[in-house]
Amino acid sequence: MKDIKYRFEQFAFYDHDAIKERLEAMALQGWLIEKPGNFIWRYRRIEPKKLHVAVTYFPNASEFDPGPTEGQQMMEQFAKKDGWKIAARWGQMQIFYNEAEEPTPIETDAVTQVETIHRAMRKNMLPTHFILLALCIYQLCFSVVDFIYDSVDFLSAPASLYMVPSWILILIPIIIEICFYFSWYKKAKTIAEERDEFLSIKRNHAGSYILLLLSLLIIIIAFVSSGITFAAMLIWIVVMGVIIFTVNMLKNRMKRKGVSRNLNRFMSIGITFILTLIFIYGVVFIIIRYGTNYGRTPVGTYEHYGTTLKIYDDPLPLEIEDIMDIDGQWSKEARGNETIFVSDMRYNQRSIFIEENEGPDLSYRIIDVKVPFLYDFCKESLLNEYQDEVYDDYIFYNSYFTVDASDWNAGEVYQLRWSDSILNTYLVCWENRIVEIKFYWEPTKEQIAKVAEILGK
Amino acid sequence: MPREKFRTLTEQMFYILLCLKEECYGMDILDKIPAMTGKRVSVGSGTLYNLLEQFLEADMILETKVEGRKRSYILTEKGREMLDKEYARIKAQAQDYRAIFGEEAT
Repeated sequence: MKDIKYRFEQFAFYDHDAIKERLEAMALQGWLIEKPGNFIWRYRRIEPKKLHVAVTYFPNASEFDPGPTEGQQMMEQFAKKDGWKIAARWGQMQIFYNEAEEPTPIETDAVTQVETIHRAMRKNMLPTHFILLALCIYQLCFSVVDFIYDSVDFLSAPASLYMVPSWILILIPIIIEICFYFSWYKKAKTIAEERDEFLSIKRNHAGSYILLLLSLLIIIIAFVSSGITFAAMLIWIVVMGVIIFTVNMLKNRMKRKGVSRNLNRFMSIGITFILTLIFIYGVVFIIIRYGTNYGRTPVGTYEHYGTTLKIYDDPLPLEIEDIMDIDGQWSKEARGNETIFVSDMRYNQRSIFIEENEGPDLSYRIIDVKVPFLYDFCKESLLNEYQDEVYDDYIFYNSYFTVDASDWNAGEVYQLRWSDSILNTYLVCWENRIVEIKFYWEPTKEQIAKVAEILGK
Repeated sequence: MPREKFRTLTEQMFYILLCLKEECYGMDILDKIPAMTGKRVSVGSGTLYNLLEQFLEADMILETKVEGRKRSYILTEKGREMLDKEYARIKAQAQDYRAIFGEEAT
């Protein structure tokens, strides 16, 4: 028969009523808490019996302490006098048990009990929650700025767009937890002062877990939609797990060796920071060293002035050969992003730089807006990518201006002006599609009509 | 209305301070209070520890001896003042009670 059992337990740190209830039920089944934790609690086998359990908080203790502080030891000695034995400690939490029929409770003054819990939470749960709250709000603000600055990129990139609901789903339980705690604290303080009674904490986490699981699901969808493979995600998860495991292992080892709280905290945070940096730099190094093909495979390579360039043969909706009679050799590249709101595909047909190959280049971007009310955001975003620069009385032109749309059979068409030149770059607005196209030659009306026929919806 | 800290004392606070009129080990207060009150009042070990710390911080008691983990304390002037105020408050309440219920109160 096993003498150790592990259970997934999830309590709010201050929810001592729920913890007490669970531990008393476990004692009846023959298990006594040995080591609490963030998710997994360890129990050891005992003879099944009715035990009284008390969960108390010691605000001046820390997860990084090498052992119980002098104050904790003193309190445990007091408790021992009334028959309370220490079962486990976890940071500021101490768990006692008592075999007597009706032992004197460890906490007999509601005012003091509420204040002690609050002092412990001010050092433990509340800072963590406020930091997470600030992080969520920062990320959401960042997303808003991203959306305003470049709506098309934001709305078409799964990693950007889908993180918004994900962060919101993380933010909601944090706000609920903070509000619930302060609501409880305010009521508990009043009741304790007026009636010397302790207001029980009744906290149901089911809703929060559902939101957090949904958030995780959205994050996975975001990464998969971004083209990140399951293998890459698995590696990411494993590496994060290894970092967490390593840091915890080192922290516990330092505790066993009697390293002081401050040194342990400094080393643990430092090691976490260093390992995370190493991992991030490793990823960046791999990307720089080996590049990323966005899931595409090159069909060849060629040398150009000492540089090896790749040749692609991706299918393109519009090719130069469709609009002019020409022989040439090109690298044809397609890449893009797509979400439920916007699809942003970029296509390039570039001449291969070899002798006797003088074909022109063509590049274009097709933005399909699937939700009508986002169309104007996308159009404005594309127009605003180019801004004139004004120096005293001189204007350096670098912006789109309206031209005749009839050649394109479109709603609106803009052409790019740069300095004193008019470039062969157009922004063409059809009903649900916007195309930004750059010709590396001056197109004829017939060529424009052909492009409109192929790309216009 | 929330009470300002130690503006009024709970029963536990009152009896802990009372025990410290004479120098006393913290641990011994756990037995002294039930003995003093005919077992009407008892103080939990957690409550005792936390209140001793709070009283020390508020200069209401003084730590007089430390022998390993055994510490003894004594009431200070400030602590005595708080007790006196609380006693006056309780007396006033008792007086008001007798004024309302008259002979029934005795």
